Amino acid sequence: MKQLVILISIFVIGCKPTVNAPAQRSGKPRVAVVNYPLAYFVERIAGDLVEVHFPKIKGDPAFWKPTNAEVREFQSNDLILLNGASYAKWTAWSSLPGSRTINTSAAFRDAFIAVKADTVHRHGKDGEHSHTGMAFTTWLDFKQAQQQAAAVHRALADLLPTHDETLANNFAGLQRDLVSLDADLRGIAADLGDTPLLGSHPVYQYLSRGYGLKIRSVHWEPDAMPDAEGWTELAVLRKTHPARVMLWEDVPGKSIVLELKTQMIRSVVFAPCANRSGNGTDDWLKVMRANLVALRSAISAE
Amino acid sequence: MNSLWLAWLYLRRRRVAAGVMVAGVALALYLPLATHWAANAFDETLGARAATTPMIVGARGSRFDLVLHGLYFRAHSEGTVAHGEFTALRDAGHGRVIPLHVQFTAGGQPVVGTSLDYFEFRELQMARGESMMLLGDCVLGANAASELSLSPGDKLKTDRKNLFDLAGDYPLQLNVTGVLSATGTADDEGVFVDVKTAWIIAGHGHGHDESKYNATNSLSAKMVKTYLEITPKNMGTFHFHSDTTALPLTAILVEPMDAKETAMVLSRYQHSDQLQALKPPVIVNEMMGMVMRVRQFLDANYVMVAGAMGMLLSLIVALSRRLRSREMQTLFLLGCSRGTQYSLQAAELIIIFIAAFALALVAAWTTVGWARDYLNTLAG
Amino acid sequence: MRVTIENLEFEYGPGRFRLCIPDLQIEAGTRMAFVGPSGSGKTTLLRLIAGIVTPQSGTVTIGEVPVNELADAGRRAFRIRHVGFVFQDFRLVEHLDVRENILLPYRLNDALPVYDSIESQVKQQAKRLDLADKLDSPVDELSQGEQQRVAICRALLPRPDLLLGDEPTGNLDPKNKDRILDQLFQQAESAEATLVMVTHDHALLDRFDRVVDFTKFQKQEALNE
Repeated sequence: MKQLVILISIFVIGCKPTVNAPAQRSGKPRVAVVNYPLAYFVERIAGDLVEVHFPKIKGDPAFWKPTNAEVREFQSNDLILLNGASYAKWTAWSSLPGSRTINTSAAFRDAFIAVKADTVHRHGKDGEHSHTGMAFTTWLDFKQAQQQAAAVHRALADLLPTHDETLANNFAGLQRDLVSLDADLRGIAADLGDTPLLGSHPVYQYLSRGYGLKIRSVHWEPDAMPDAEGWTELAVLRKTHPARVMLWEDVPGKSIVLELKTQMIRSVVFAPCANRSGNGTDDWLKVMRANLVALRSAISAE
Repeated sequence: MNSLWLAWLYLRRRRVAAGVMVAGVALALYLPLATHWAANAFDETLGARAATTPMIVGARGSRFDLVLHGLYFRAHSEGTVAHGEFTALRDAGHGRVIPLHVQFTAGGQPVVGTSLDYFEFRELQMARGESMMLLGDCVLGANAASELSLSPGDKLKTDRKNLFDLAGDYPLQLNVTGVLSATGTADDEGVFVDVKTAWIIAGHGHGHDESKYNATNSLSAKMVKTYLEITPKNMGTFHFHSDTTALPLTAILVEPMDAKETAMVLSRYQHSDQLQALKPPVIVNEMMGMVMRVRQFLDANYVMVAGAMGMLLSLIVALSRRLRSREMQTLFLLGCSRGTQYSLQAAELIIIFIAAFALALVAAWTTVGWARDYLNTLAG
Repeated sequence: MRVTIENLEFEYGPGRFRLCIPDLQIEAGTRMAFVGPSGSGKTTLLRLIAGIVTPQSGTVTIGEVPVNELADAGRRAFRIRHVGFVFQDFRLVEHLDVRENILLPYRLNDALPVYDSIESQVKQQAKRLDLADKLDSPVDELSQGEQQRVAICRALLPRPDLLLGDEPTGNLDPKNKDRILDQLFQQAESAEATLVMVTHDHALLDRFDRVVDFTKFQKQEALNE
């Protein structure tokens, strides 16, 4: 019985979209970010010079709804890095100190992709949401990711004026990795040519545009078997877009993979990695590299 | 001492005449005192406010209007500056940049759309409650809170610009989250909101939850939506009709890091047809220069008034001696010397002057206090 | 205090009025009355004795002091200290109350310093003259008789050596006349003061030690009783 109570408690706590209590102040400047790619960029560029405030969010940070206390916690940071492109809509409803808040995608603001469809859907425990407005997975175009990293570097350089050299060196290293990712993906894209691809979810707009990939998306979730309507939608889509590879944000359920396999569709995980990986060991770069490996192997198999 | 006592008894008995004398002298003293003090108060208050506001950017037009708008939230209708200019200035790294959108009022107090940086910039302390956090939140200046009798947790509706404009924007119900400590500046009068909230008041953004429009009159409830409210439930539906970079600000406060950055901001707008960058301390000095010239002119007048008053008083004293010749004769018969007689009259004048001076001081003090308050409520 | 007048000549307005008194002795403690028609010089002589005005020639000596030979300030100080004067027209200051009118000589002259018990002295004197409940009243609200008594009270307060009265009972009813006169005589007696009074009331003359008739004096003849 006691074990049951503990299990229920863990489940309840685990399901609740909460953040940790405010971290102990270390005396270092605190930098708040709205998603993991930005947290990773900060960690790469500033290392231990700053304390990164990225709440432990269950689900997609893009749709996180902070409590009042969590908003206050954000307000109190020395630097607040936003993704831009309507990412983390709560930032639009909240008062953040303008002088300390940086939109990392401002440099390519004019290149944002507007999403016309207004489809409300549900991600398991995350509740309903829609993808109207702007496409926001900006970092999956690694050139854009480089620009965002550059914005992060500038902001950190302003915050830590005495660490110019360290920051510049670290940023150069990050840029090399991002350039390398970009080059690798361009190679894969060249091999793909006009090969049609499927996206399980509309998060690949910038990936698609940046590398000329022919991706069309459905609104499926990796942990939920699509209903009949979903399968019909896929069948209709394939009539004009005969794709044989579907990109997934996360590892899809085995039954889904099997069902897709029967329809000659290979499932490939291409994770945007908006949140820290579940196992806590794979950093954003590793996940991106794994994405590219998975995509290349899928093409090779084809 | 006896002279003063007897003079006091005389004046006490001649209350009306003494009162008229005191009032007349007080008025003659009050005018130069009040003018000097008020001018000094203007100089100090405006100067102090300007000194802490190194630079302001806004639409081209009257420099005085723009500076008064930035310092005192005074209505400014020359035009606006796009929010994109704010982000460009901020990203250029010249220094601290603060948006201002002051176009509306709530309960007659100016609604100041800005960012949390404003509180840091002005070193404003929260007396009660917390700073604004979400759309629709507001923080009240000390006077605004007492004028409107509001505390954290209360609601406050913005004023409709035109009561008869039924098709116009709806007033927005604001949530009071905090009250600032009194500063003795224009900030005490403000209703501070996030600039995004100000844009919603201005109708640049809106939500879609129609059920949250409220009506106070049950007969017309179905037809007349009286105000707009942002609630946790409908907050997610609020959005702006265009990219926020295109949305208007009425001014931008800039605190350049150094002289070089100041020069860079100035040169940025030097040849702009639409925008201007001003240094409020310079503009306020210019304004005070004009005030000083007026003061010099008034001072010349006061010298003449003082001369006239002196002659009038001499006449009054001479006439009074004539009217009181029997009384003086009595004093003489009772052993009063000429010197004591003069000292009695001098004592009367001294009392009148002291009373008049005190009255003039109090009146001038009150006027200057009022003038300071007026400066703080220049919003119009 | 003895008053000696010798070879006194006083002319008021050239050719209009002339007073000549070759010799007049008023012994200390004497109660003397001046009688005579209006304009005969009674009041003028009182003022000459008091040192309010000075003669063109001759001397007025009070005690051992030739008053008319003193400088203005000295004469004034002497008068304040030694001479009490009840004026015909009271000479009250209308914007002061009764108390302040009584105290006025003290307020005006350093020669009469205000001492601690002066207030109780005022009350006592006022009580004697039936003015105790009027001390805080403005004098212009008093009757003529009350004003007269205030003037007397003011003259008596410094306990003068020489008390001069210019018809001090002129505005009083018979009952009050006697009372005031009693007061004056009593005060003069207790202070061993000389009393000189101008009066037109012949019924009172019996109460005086000496009477000087100014009818003779009108003819500008030597006055020698």
